[in-house]
Amino acid sequence: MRLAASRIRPLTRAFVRFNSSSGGNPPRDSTTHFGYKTVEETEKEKLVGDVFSSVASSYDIMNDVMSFGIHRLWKSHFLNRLDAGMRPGSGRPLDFLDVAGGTGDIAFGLLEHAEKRFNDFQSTMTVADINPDMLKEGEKRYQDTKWAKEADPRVSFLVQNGETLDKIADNSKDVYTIAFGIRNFTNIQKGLEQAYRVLRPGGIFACLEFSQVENQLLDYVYQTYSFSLIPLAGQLIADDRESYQYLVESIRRFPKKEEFKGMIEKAGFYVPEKGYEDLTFGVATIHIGVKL
Amino acid sequence: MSNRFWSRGLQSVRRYHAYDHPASNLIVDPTKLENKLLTKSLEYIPQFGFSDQCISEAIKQMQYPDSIRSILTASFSGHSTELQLMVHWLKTQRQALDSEVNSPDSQLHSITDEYERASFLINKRLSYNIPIIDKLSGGISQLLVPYNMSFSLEELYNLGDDIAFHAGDASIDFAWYAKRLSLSMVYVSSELYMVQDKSADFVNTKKFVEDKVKNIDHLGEAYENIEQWAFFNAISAFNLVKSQVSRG
Repeated sequence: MRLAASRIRPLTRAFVRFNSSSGGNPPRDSTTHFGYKTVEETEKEKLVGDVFSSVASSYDIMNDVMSFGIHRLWKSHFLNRLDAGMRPGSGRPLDFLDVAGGTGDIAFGLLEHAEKRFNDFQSTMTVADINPDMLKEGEKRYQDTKWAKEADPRVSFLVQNGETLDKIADNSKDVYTIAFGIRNFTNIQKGLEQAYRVLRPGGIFACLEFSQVENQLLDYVYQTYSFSLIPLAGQLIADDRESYQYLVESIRRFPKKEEFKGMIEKAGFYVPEKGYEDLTFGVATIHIGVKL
Repeated sequence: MSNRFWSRGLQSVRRYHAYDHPASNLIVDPTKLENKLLTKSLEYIPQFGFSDQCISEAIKQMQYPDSIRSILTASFSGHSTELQLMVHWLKTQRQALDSEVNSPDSQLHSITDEYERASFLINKRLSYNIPIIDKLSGGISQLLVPYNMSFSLEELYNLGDDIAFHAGDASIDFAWYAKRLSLSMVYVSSELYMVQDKSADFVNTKKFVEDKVKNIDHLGEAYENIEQWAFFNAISAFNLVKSQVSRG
């Protein structure tokens, strides 16, 4: 599904220096951001859905192209930092939940890490994604993994809106991960509150998300790159310029690190120390919260 | 890297000592979850040494799920859990030394000489090592790994600074640096001595500390004597020259 042609932005727009308030009129109560556009709240979910349905099949190759493969390093760093898994001699296996898990790379990575590091063959994984097309990609990939061949399946896939998680019970998960997903939520705060709800006390909320580069010079390079080359790459490789235009705009729209940390705390989480870790000059950031 | 350095500098506890608010001279915030977890883990050091197992045991005892571990593994300091345990050990012991100084019935208050106070403090700090002395070398080896070096030196400097300050150092010249450096050196060498010390009640270590601190004192005296001598001669030389070149 393609977006309306009238929404296409001219390439020249890409070279304009943006700041977070450059999105035109401030959103009214019932509106939210969709990239730089202001849309009705009810509409955003569908628009994001369209974006991901349209990019699902080429999602991975595009990630590699756009980030020069660095997203793999970020994800592997994220998994190492979490270092999650049932320790030998521990009482009970863990229940992982990967929201916006789509293609499953974080989910499979977590399971692999737990097996390799701690010999944990029991912890369970729930992959939730609002978008059935993305989830289908994950399921397809799951069929080729060793977990699909286990007698007692530990991995389940759920079509779920991260803002409601209505099929997931309170206090039922130990690790909530979300990688490059939370910025697509219509109401991020609601999503965080749901994360708090489904986690057990002692559970960890971990989020890997794009962020802001603080060094102005590097930021200029980064912005120029992301606003000019990423939509172009999207056009050439995935034949879908608007979706990638949305992706880069939504990165700019996402709350600043300190602000997002405040939102995590507001949802009830305890945030340790500084609260976040910058990766690659702050292009991506890891946020952590603990439910006490 | 520089970013991290600055943010750490800005975020850490205050860098000066407040006489009027002794409770605010906080080195480890005991209300933080990660510190609670590490403090509990320290109880298992005599059993497991400075290893990850202490943390597992603490988590089990505190009845947290294994997921809580991520709070340490994802620590933004980037330290391994073993090093974090050692760091926490060092900081809590430095805190204990601070409480000792602030306690009204500490023996320290009856000592007046600066150097005796310094050796009292070093010995006090070393005495905290006794319960874990068998495992201490494992912890020290963490600190000596090159990429942990900058942290260990910083913590050592903090300890040296605390000792010099509480001993009553009032120097405002180069001696300020010299004292902190030499007290830190005494501390490190004494700690290494202590790990090997088999004497009853570590009497040899105590003697070692006292000798070393006395050496600093002597060295300080020698330095001052030389300084005085050099200064006197410089002035004399100047006057001599002046007397020869000026017309009477």
